[in-house]
Amino acid sequence: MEYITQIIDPAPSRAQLLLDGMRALRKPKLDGAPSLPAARLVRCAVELSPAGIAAYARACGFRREQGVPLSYPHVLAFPLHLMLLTRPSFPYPASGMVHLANRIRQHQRLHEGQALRLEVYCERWVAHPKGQALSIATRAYGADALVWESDSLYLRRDVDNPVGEPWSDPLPLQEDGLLRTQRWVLPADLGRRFAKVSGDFNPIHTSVIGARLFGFRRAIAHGMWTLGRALAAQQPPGGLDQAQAHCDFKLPIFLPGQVALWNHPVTGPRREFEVRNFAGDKPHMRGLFIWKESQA
Amino acid sequence: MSDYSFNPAPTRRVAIIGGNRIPFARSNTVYAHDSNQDLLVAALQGLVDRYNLHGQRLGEFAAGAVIKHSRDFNLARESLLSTTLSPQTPAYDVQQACGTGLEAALLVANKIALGQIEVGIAGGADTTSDAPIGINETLRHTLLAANRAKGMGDKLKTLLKVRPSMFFKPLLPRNGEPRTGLSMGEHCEEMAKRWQIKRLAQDELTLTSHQRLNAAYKRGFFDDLISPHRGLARDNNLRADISLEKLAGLSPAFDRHNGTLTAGNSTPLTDGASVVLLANEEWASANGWPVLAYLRTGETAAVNFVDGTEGLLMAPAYAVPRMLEREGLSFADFDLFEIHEAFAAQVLCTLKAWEDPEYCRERLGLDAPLGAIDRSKMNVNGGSLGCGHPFAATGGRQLAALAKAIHERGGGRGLISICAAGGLGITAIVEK
Repeated sequence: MEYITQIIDPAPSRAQLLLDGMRALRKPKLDGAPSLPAARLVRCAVELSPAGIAAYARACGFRREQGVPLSYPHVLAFPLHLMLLTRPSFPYPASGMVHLANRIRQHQRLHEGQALRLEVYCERWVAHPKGQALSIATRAYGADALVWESDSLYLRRDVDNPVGEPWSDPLPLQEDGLLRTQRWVLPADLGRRFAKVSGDFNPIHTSVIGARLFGFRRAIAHGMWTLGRALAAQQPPGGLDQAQAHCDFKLPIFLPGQVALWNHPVTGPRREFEVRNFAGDKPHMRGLFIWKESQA
Repeated sequence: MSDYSFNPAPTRRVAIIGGNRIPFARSNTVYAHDSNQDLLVAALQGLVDRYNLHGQRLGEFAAGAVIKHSRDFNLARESLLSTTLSPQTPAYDVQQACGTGLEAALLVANKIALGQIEVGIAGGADTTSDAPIGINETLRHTLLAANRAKGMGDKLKTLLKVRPSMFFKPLLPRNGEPRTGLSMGEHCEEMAKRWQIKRLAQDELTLTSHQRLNAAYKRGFFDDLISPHRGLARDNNLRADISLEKLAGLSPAFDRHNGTLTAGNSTPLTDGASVVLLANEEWASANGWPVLAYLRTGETAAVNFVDGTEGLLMAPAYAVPRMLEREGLSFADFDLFEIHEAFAAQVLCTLKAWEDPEYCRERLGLDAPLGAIDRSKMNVNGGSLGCGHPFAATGGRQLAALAKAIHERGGGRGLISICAAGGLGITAIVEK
């Protein structure tokens, strides 16, 4: 696949993204197989700004001593995801794309003030049992190397004969013996708060009316908030040198509400976890968090 | 040339002269309108009255409360100024969750042992009736920003961000561990499941706690340990007519479907205060007071409950064997055990842990298990399940009651153990 590299500068404004989002509400019906958008969107130097990190950390419950949150670069790249999904050449309406799963890998320690080159592109189609899935790649480069990357799997439901490689359950985790180790109380305005720090102003997260327009009875929490909260809850003090986080998004979390973190009570740098309702019978997220203990 | 070398004086034995507390009252009952300070003053003045300390300048008064208002920054000193002790007695606040009272006593005792002071008082108070309610966090940040703003225009501009809704969403005190969001009862429920503690065993321990407390009141054990307050002469959580059937009828409080912890076999929120008078032997004999017992030593421990590898309330399981090893003692050397009953399940988990060879080896690093505790020696005059648990007041209550029990039986050795929020455990040895 040959990509056309497009430099994005300055960052797209919220108003522009909103406008593009409105325009992308409807798309003409697709004849035949979808083609993969060839654009690679690049921002050359995005700063891991202390203020941005602090606001993100506050929203997700990261503590200062945990360093740059593993999931933070994702929010810096998210506007580029939106730009890809709302482009006229993208075959499906952006609002119908459901974030199914995300996997993040960090190869080097990230520092406040560091500038990252962010690249976002549609990597491949995935044939999912429920429709057409698409993997969007996010790559973050430091001075000379890939330091961080993320693969986001989005799903367009009810597409017959999806194309691409067949989907396989990426997280065959041990469900037995999970214990409820934390309770999170989620306020009604959590979606608006996380929208401000993540740039994801999707109305299903920010207002009841917006959520109802798209078929939810109440606003739902951002999946990436849930991932951030889970990482914040399980990461020991001290920043991460190398780490991976994989998650599958399950049932939506309605706001306000309370959910619980379930995991195996073990020490050591590996956590299999689930976010469930407080009673523990409904899964909202399954995940795996692996890190290399900091040498510092 | 100055000579900086000196020979430290030998440490002194720390005598427990006596203690005083007010009867403990369930939250929002008799003491509903008393502040922490009101409660602490009542307990302290009662001690001053009993030991005729009016106008005396003591070495220090150390005390604290767990649930505090910001105005309570100098709670111990402010309380002292409301009593008839000499206002020249220094005071300071201590806070170590439910271990506050015992930790305060260890601090005062250590100064006495080192010869820095001769006599001091330790204590604690807590009310959950007169709890602090904070203003809305967003409102607070806005007000602080307005305070920082230069000039009236900027101040007004900042204040325009205040919304009426902020006044109706106050910051309420949370009944939960800050790092897990789970209440202490939920944590303890998890421990009970891990250690397979049966409901019946919890209810039996609860029954014993009430029965022994009631018996102790009946034989006048508390006559010189308690001063009445607000018309209350005994702990109003005490149910003399409690039975296993009644306890069995209560539904689980923290896990409705599979739980074993109930409102009966868990301590309720309680208001109260307690203080203990500690001194060296010279002060005791000079003032004509018999020594009830000596506070020999203490040990604190903490566990990592955040990653779930250890139960929130299991730290005493670690503190006790460390202390015993340091002092060259074993359970066989003890005649009395004063184990704080936050929850019947937590007591039973700890006892079971000390009997478990694998746990003692893997977690506590012991060659052999510590062994079983003879229940007839444990909490012989009732425990927190019976009298209630005003967080910071429990240590003082236990210390005074244990010292008196040792004195009554003409000597012996006792162990105190308290579990606390944050995975803390505070323990001590009392003997004569």
